[in-house]
Amino acid sequence: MPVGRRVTRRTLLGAMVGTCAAAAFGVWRWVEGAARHGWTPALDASAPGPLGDGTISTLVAAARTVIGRSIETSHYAEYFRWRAEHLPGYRALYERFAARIERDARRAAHCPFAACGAPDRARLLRPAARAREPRSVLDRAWMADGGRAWAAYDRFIFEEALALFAGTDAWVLTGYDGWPGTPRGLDRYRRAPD
Amino acid sequence: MPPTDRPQFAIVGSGIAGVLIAYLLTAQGRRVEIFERGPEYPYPHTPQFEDRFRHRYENPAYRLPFDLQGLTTSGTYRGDVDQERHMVIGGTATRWAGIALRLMPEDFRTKALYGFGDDWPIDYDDLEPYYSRAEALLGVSGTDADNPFAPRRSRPFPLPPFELSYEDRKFAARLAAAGIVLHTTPQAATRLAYGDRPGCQNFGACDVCPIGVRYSPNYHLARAIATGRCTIHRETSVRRIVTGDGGRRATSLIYRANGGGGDRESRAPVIILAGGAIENARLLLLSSRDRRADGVPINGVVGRRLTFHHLWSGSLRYAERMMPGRLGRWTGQSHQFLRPPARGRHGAVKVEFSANIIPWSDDGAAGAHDGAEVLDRFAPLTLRRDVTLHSEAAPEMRRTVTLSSVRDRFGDPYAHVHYDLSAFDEATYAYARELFDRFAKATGAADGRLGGIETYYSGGHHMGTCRMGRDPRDSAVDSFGALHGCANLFAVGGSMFVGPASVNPTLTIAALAIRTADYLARAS
Repeated sequence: MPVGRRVTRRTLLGAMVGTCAAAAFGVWRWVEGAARHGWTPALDASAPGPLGDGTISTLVAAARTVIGRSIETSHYAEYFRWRAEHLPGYRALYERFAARIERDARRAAHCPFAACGAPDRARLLRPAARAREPRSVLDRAWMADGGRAWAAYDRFIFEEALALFAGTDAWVLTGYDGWPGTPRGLDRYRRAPD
Repeated sequence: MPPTDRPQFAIVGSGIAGVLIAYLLTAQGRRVEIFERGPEYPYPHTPQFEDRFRHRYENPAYRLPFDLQGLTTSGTYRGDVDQERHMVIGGTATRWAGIALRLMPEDFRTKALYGFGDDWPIDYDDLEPYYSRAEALLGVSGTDADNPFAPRRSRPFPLPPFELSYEDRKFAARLAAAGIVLHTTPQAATRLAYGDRPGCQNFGACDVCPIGVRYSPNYHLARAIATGRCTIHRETSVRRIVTGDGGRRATSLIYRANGGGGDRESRAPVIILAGGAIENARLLLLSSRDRRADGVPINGVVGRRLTFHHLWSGSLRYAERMMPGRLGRWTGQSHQFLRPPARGRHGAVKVEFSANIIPWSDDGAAGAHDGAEVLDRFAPLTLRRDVTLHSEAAPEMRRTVTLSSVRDRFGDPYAHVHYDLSAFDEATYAYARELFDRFAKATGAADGRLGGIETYYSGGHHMGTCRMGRDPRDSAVDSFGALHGCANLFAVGGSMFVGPASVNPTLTIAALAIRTADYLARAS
C-alpha cells in the first residue's frame, strides 16, 4: 500500500465488518471446540476415601430418579461406596455432586434432595440431560463452562447407575428370577418362567 | 541350592497344560519350577467376581502391560488374538467356558479318512484313558446317555450333566421331529459337590466363578505348591532356551523379572514349554540357532499351521419368550454334524444351541436416558436364542507365527500372527449356514441372522505351530511333546495339535498333558 494513501469511510466500514465477522467466527469456533472437548469428562486424581451416609443417600436418590423404576437400592449404595473408597476421583466427584444437588434442592424445592417429590428430583437433575445432549449454541456455551461439572455427573454417576441397573434390576423387571452374580439355583431354569 | 532341592523340571507357562504336568509330577515326588510372565490371579476367583459383578470394575492388576503382552497380525482375522490370551497365573483356562469334549476317533485320521489335514501319530484309543483321567481331574459333568454321537469311553463321567432348560426341551422336541438331536454339554463345572469343590449354585458368572465350580488350573497349582516341591516365578519372562551338545540337549533357560534386573539363568534337566500355540512358537523362534550359536535347532515346521476354530454366530428370534441366561452353564449342543457326509470338502461343525447365552451386558445401557429405555432394549433379547457354529479348519502352511518387527520391554520381538481363510473354510461356512437355516426352520424361528464369513472368531482356540508327528521333516515334536533332535526340551499344549477337529480343545490339551506327565515321571 502506498504511504500516505487515505482510508475511505467505505474501506473503514468494510474492515470493521470483516473484523467483527472474523471475531464472531472465532468465538463460535471456540464455543464449538470447547464444548466438544468439554464433553469428555474425566475424573481427577484425588485420593479415594469413605463417603458420609448423607452423600450416599443423595447418590442413591439420584440413581432412583434417573432409573425411574422400582429398584433394590442396597447394591447401588454398595457400588457408590466401593468406588469412592477404591478409585481416585470418585469420592471428590460424589461429594461435589451431593453438595451441589442438596443446595439446589433446598433453594428450589425447599427439601433435602432425597425427600423431594419425584417431579422435583427429576427437574433438579435435568442439567445432566442438557450436558449429555447440548442442542443450542447457548447449551454449547454452557458446556464450555458450568456444564462440564454436569457432564461429569452424567458420565460417572447417572450412566454408571443405569449400567448397574442393566446388569441387575433390569433382569428382574424383565421377568427373570434373579440376575447374574446372584446364586439362582439349578431348579428354576428347568421350569417354565413365571 | 542342595542338589536334591534343585528342580528337575522347568515349566514355562502356568496354563492348564503346564499346571497339570506340575501337579502330577510333584504328586510323585518330583521338583518343579514354573515361570509365568503374568501376575497373580487369586483362586477361587472370588475377588475377580466381586470386581466384575459388585463393583463393575476391570481390575488392571490382572492384565499385563502392553509392553509385555502383545503381538502383531496380518491377514483377515478381525478378532483380537492378543487379548484372547489371558496371561496370568493359571493362563487362559482361568476364564474358559469349561466345555470339556473329547475329539472323535476320526479326528485323529482326517487325511486317511477324508483326504485333508494330516493324521496324528496317536489315535483315539491311545488317548482315551487320559481323557478319562482328565475328566476326573477337572471334575467334568456330563452324560452320553442323550448323545448318540459320543465316542466310546472306558469310564463314566465323574458327575451328572447340567440338564437341558425348560426351553431347551421344547426345542429338542421340535428338532427331533426334524431329525436333529439336541443333547447336554459335558463341561468342567461341578454339577454337584466334587471332592472339595462345591456344587454349582448358578451364579451365572462362570468365567470368574466365585466358588470354584468351573475348573481353573489354579486349583491344581495350589496343590502342587502345597507339596513344597513346586516353586513359581511370577511376573517373570523367559527370553530364550540355551542348548549344549551341539543343540541336542537343552541346558538352561534365560529369564528376567518383569520389574527389572538383569538376565538370570535356570538349569533343569528337562524344560517344558507350555505357553500356548503362539508363545511356544515365539520362544522357540527366539531361541533358534539361526539367532544364536547356543540356540535350539528348530525346523521349518515351528510356527507353521497355526489353526483356529472358526466360530460363526447367529441369532434366532421367536414369537414366544425364550428367556436365555436363566442358567450360567451350557445346556444344548448337537454333535450330529461332527462327521458330515462331505467331510473333506468342508469341515465338521459342532452346533451350540444353548440356553445360557444372552447377548447382553452393561453396555446395553450405553447412552440410555432412563430405566425404561434400558428395559425397552432388554425385552427383545428374551425372544432370542443364539446359535454358534463351531467349525473345523484345515491346517494351512501359510497360517503362521513368526517374529514381529515390534519388540517387547526387553527388546525381544513379539509374535507376528498371519491368518486368513481358505476355499475349504468357505465351503465349511456354506455348510454352517445350511445348518443354521435348518435349526431356524425346525425350531419355528420367526427370523434369524447369521454373521458373514468374515466374522469368524477363533474362540480363543489357538492350535498347531509345533505339531506332533513321527517324521522330523514335517513335525516339530513327538507325541509326548519332545522336540525332535532335542529330547529334553518339550513343547506341550495346543501347539501340539495336528488338526483342530471342531470341538473345544481344552480337554484334549489336558489329556495330552497327563500323558506327557506320565512319560516324564517314568523317564526321570
